[in-house]
Amino acid sequence: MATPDYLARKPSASLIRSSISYGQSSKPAAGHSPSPSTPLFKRSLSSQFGSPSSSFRAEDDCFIYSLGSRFLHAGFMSESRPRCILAFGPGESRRAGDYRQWAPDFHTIRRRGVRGEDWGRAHELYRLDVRDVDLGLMQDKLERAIRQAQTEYFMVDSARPRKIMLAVSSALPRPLLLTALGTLFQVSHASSITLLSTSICSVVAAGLRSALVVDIGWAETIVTAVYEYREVGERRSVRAGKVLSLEMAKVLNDECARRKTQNPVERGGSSSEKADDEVSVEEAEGVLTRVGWCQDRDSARKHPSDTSSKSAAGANEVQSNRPVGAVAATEISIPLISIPLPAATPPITLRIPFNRLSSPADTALFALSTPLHDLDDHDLPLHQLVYKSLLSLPPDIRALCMARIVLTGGVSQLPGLKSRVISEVATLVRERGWDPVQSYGSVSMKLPHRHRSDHPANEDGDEPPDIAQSPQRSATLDAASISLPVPIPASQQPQEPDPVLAKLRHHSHSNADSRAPTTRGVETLGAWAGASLIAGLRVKGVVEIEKDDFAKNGLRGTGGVFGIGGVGGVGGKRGSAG
Amino acid sequence: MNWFCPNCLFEVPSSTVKSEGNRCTRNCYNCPICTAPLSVNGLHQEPSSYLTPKDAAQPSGPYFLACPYCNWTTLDIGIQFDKPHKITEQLSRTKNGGRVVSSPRDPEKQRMGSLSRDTPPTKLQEPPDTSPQEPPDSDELFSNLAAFYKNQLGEASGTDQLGVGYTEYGYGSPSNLARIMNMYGGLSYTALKKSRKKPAPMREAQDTNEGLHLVSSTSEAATIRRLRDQGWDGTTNAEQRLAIPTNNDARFTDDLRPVATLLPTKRTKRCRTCRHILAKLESKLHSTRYKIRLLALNYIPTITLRGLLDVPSSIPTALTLPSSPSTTTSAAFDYQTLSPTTPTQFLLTLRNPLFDPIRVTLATPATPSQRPAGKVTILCPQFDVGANTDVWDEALTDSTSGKDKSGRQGGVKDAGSGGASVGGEVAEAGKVWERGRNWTSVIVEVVPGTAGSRDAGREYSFGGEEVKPGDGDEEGGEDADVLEIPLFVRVEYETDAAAEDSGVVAKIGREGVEKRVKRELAYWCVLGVGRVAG
Repeated sequence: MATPDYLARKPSASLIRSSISYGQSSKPAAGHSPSPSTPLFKRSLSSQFGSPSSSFRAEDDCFIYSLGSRFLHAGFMSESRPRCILAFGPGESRRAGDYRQWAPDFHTIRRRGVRGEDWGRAHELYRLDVRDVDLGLMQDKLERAIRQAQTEYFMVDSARPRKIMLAVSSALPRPLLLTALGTLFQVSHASSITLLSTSICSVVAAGLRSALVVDIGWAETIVTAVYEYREVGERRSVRAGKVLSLEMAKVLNDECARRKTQNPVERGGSSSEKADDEVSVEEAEGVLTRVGWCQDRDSARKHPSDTSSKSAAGANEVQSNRPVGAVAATEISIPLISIPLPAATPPITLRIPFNRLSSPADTALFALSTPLHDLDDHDLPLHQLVYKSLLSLPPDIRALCMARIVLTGGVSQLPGLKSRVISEVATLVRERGWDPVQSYGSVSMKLPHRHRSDHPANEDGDEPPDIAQSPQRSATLDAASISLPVPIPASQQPQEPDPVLAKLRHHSHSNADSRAPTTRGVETLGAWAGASLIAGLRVKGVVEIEKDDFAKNGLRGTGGVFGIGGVGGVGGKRGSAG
Repeated sequence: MNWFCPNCLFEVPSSTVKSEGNRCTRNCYNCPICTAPLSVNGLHQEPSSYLTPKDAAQPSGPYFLACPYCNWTTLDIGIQFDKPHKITEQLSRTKNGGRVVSSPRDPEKQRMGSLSRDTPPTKLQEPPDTSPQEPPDSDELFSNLAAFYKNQLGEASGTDQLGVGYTEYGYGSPSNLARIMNMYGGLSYTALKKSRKKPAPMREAQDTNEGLHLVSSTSEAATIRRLRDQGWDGTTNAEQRLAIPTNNDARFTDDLRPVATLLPTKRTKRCRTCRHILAKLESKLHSTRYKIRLLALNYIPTITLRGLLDVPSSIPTALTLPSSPSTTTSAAFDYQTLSPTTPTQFLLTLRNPLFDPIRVTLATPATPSQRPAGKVTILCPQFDVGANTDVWDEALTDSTSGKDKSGRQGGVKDAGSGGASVGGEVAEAGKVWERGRNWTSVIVEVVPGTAGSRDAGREYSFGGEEVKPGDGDEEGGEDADVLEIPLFVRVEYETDAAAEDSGVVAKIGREGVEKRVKRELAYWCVLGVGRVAG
């Protein structure tokens, strides 16, 4: 399936579907509207109907919460950042009177994880496998966090009932959601809670209507395709923060062991201590968030950073503003990053080559060393996951989503990760096209000449295209890419120019559709900011749970599907009686 | 409700908090590195002139914030101030590196220009020029996005404005409108119809002015380069990032901003179920006194657990005051190394804070759930504790009660068949060990289980705390070797009906004739015993 044809068809699809009813019109007074009217009359009308609603601002103030398995973001609506981000750590579950975290040597003692327990379990509020989740414990932890947010950071008179917008992942298990809602209602005296989906919030916070949201969280990476503010597809992978920090811990442990073998004088304890003295979750995560990074695609292929610490820095070096001639000396000039580990016994400072710090991302998220057929469906590497979810989308949505890959989640802050994912996906698309069959085996000889590899004209890598591309220019681009091979089947042939369509396209504001679908990443401000934007625009949510209703019926009345209506007027049709 | 700044003790009214946020808006800032309070220093100030009064120092000249603990200054992030006051205002106008924050008006104007209908976005040459060098921060992006959405929604509602706004006046129907339009001689009906067609869907943001921000590999590469050059010390840790929202995405220490002090307030505590106020401070800022203070400590018995040892001297000294047994016994008893699977006897003392005598019933679970499973036997689970009367009462009645006690213990000694023998004293089941004015001690026998995974046969599936073998790290470990015993305490007492309004105590029955109310209190608690030797 070559690209140009669904490209050309795209604008019509979006225009046909443009049945929009705006949930709440913000202001009736629009000075630039072409409709003729007597100015005096208009003014009186707007003062009568327009302004009073905005003067009661304080009353319909609304709290925004965004709940993940590790952090709770909380703040006010239409603010750009949450007032507080609260982590669910093991420090939160101490007894009253346990003051050991203030002890001066607290940070020099390695807090040991429980052995039979999973990595990082103590830092999680919940996990998606609800079989082992202690819901009462989750409720208590969440309640404490919400109370802390309200008393320390919101500082409002708690008497007045308020509205709450809660952004959660749309596949949050129902017991967890019930617990979260119950806690919120109980603690915060909320009159109603509006549920939003994090992926849609991320899309809103990116300024888009459709996107492929790649949420690289703690437990799993969720790739959600959003089309016109609706979730249309979802895929998951366990390659996310947890695996990444585990890999980082392995790297650190290896370095520690190597250091001990190198200078055995420092090897204080017995050999049994080695198994004991392992890097804790906090340390691994600290190293990961501080100095972890992700190399770009070319250098990762050229010098897999696993193998040696001597590999060159790759393409970054070319762009760096080091003196000329240093390129030859890159092998030497890789700096050693010294990482203090005060909790190790004895306290040591590791000196790790900078390149080595990018290897966890390679192994954990991209699984370079593992052949693809060895991977299960649930642990696909990120680029494969993105590619597969794009592949499973209908072509017109795929064209939209391909150019709007939104990476969010905590791990996406890793420097270099975003561009790496996008360039990997671009390469996959270029190499394989949109063919779900990876290998035709013996049939491949008999197949007709596959022309998709002939014109990689549109997929020019991760280079961001000119945003303000005029329709005319992209049209010529299309034309250039069309005229390549001789035997084009009819389905692949370019659409004949439709004057009506061209006119529509010319008139429509959304000339985004006329862009060639390059693989492109879009930054987002995150789910919390999206929810804050949605609340700030007074968009009415589809799933709004009243307190009394919740107390009476639980989640039964609300259906299981979240979305937002109003912005495009398109949400809410999926609300099935669950 | 009033908030105050703990640093400058300035009271902030509720309205200000609502409008300006939960941080001190004066000069109170904390160091983003080490959280010590920052002080305002003059840049050209001589060291000696710190001692001279403020007026003597030169009034002009740039100022900066400095941390007296770790020597971090705002000069590190390239910020200095013209005036020594109104730091918040000046800080909000400068970005890190001394760049001036463009006032919100300018992008607004730009945006309005770009978003006006007839200009296609191709006309925007300026923004792509500026954006690559300086990626917009998230605040800018957010305000751009918010403005964009508002604009879009407003525009869209503008097109069907006639349908929405004018319906109340009967202008909604096309024929009416056409009539009126003809009257005014404005547009024709067809033109009007055209304007009332379905609104186009709200489009997406298309450039930085509208909040779109593309992933750029160059900026990420720049970040990596910076990371490589600055190393570990140039980066921020999680606490520094989470201290204030503006530091949330500060990766390097150069990106940190001073942390404005968080305003606390004096909060009242209410009962969770009946909303009764339990604690309330005086509203005056400088006073630390309570207006209302209902502590559970004043209503439930204080429970202490001490090791009972073969120190014979502990018995006679323990007779006078309840605190004395602890001082004598704990010196010899080693709580850090309890020997597993050996019965150890402990002295459980309940002290009654109430002015009425209480009757206590204790219970422990049959199967211990804690990880170093201790098997607990309370030798005397039901007993009375005297009222918390005046201290002098005991002194006055000392002779009788002393006799009583000695007699009782003599009885214990004589009967000594049921309990284990501890250095001549015998703890017997069903008997109180000793008793004072408002306290009673009973013997508890604890058989600590083995700590950790020493015996491989035991499996505790409920996320039980388990330590690795050879884990000598006691203090910081997962406390797997701490032996704690759950204890169910049930307290019954009779009190005057007048004291009914103490909302803590649950009451069950009332004997109306005598105006005496029988109350009952029951709760679970956990007693820490000590650490089991590994």
